[in-house]
Amino acid sequence: MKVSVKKYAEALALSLKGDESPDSYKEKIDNFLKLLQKRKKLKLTKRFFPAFKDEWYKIIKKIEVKVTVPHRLEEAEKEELSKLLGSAFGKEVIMNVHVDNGIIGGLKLEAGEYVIDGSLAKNLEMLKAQIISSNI
Amino acid sequence: METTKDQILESLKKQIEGFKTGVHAEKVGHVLEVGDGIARILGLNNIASQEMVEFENGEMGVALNLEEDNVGAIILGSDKGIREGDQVKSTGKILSIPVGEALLGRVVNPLGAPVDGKGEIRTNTFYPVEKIAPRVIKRKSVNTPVQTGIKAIDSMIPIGRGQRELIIGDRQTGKTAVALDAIVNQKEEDMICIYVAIGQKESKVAKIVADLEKRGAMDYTIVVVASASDPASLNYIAPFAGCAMGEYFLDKGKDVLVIYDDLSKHAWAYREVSLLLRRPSGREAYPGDVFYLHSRLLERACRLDPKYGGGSLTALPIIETQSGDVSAYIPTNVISITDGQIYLESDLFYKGIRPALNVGISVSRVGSSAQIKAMKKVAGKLKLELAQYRELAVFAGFGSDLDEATQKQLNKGDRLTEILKQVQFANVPVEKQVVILYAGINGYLDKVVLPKVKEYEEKLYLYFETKHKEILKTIKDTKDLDKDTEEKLKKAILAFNDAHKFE
Repeated sequence: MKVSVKKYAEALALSLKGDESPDSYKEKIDNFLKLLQKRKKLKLTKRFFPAFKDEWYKIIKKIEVKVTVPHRLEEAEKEELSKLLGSAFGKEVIMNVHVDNGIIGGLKLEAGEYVIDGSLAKNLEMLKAQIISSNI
Repeated sequence: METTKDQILESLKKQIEGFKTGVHAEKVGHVLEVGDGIARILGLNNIASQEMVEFENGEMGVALNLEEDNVGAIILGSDKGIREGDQVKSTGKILSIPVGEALLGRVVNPLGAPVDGKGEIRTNTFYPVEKIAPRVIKRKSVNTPVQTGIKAIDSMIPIGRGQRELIIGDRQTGKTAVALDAIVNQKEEDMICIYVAIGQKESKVAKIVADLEKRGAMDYTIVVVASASDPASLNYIAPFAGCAMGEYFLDKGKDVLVIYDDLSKHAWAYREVSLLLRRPSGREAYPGDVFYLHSRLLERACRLDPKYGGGSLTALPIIETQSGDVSAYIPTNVISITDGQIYLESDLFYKGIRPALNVGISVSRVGSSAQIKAMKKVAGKLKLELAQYRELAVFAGFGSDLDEATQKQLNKGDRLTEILKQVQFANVPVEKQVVILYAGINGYLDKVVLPKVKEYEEKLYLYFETKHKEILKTIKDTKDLDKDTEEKLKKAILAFNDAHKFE
């Protein structure tokens, strides 16, 4: 049977769990790569990392969120946002903050396959679409 | 002027004031790999098959392969601006296209976007590209003819409304010409025509549109174009899109004629898409469901029961064969799906018999029940005469002495063959067809020398139009050739023969 990338990622993530010493990590990853080589699946490594990241975060109960803001955030703001997101997702949040003044104002969150866009730019876009479609 | 300006301002103001800012949440996937018009997408867990997706640069796609860890989608357009890692949004809509009256007279691509430079097409109705064909209860058997204006077809291979009649032949045998003649002849028939060009040269399509425009046929015609330079994905959905545009009019109770030119190239496009999506290939490298692909398309041709609107959708698929090989995969498939076929042969074409119909092996399985009575009366004999003529013609080829009866049969056959010749865009109304065929099978042309048969035909039409209009009218209105009319017809032809000599 064909084993998908997702299955490999899940297997590695599960085997890494528990024993947290760097040595055992290294050994297990070495073994994993050897296994891939044996099965002639080394070309999967390119697609492997994102899949593994998803699985790993699932196991250690963390979630990675990409936050896009219009200006640089203060440390206190960051902390508050992190806390807020943590309670919303029910998981510990790893925040990647991007500064992009193209969104004008508001906030945009990307977590896994969800995109939550509350930016001013998006709202203006929606207003534009609404005016065009109303056909005055 | 001032007031409209104010109204616009007022309405804009209202919209802006009434707009509620909000948070926009959606699920997205990411492009894993892209190329050859295909994208593989990670994520999009809840996507449906045939659902439209939108790429970050605004290009649309359709999810076709739903696999364990990724989604295979075809890109409806260029894959140039799409990069690995781009966000892909699912739209929640099954692939659908705009339909409506606004499309009439236009040239559009398979997504319903205009390509003729005549401005935007405004319509609010959308139809899904893939639709289940009407079920048994909704259907009715074929009973009204589609008059093509081509004598050989209307008499011997009649097409009924709601029928699927295949036009098959080698390249350059006049397949498209037959289809175009059929469109042009619908001018007074209240039929909507849809011409779907799949994998054709743009120059050929431009010529077709110009030809139709010149004859006033574009008023009731939609041309759907997926040209040879368009991606395979567009070629693949083109016939389904054309059919959906026709179904809109079908639901309005109208009669529709759809021409798919041609399905061999459609099968190629589908093969390309399938192989790129890594679906297993079968005979001639076509995927296993290529039969189902065409059968579900042609099954959508139907004649609806009056209780369900009573419209009809007639399909004229075209298949191009390679040096007359009808036993190749796609030709056999489509032959078995359709209700008959019109064979065009290059040998006949070069002999000068145009349309190059091989009447011996062309058949229409249901059309004869749709023929008008007057035509049925003359066509029955015509078929027999021609069959006997073909048999004798083989022997006559040896040049041996022939008895008088054989000579006479051959003589008549020659003239009938001559009558059935017809140039493109010279459509003959059905009542005139009845007149000339009646004269032919009853031997009133036997004294006319072969090269003058065309002249005889033209003069006979003119004669009937000027002197015996009532006979034409009776045939047209009653659709029958009763004893009385037949007598009148015979007399008129005899009088004509006396007055004109063609020697």
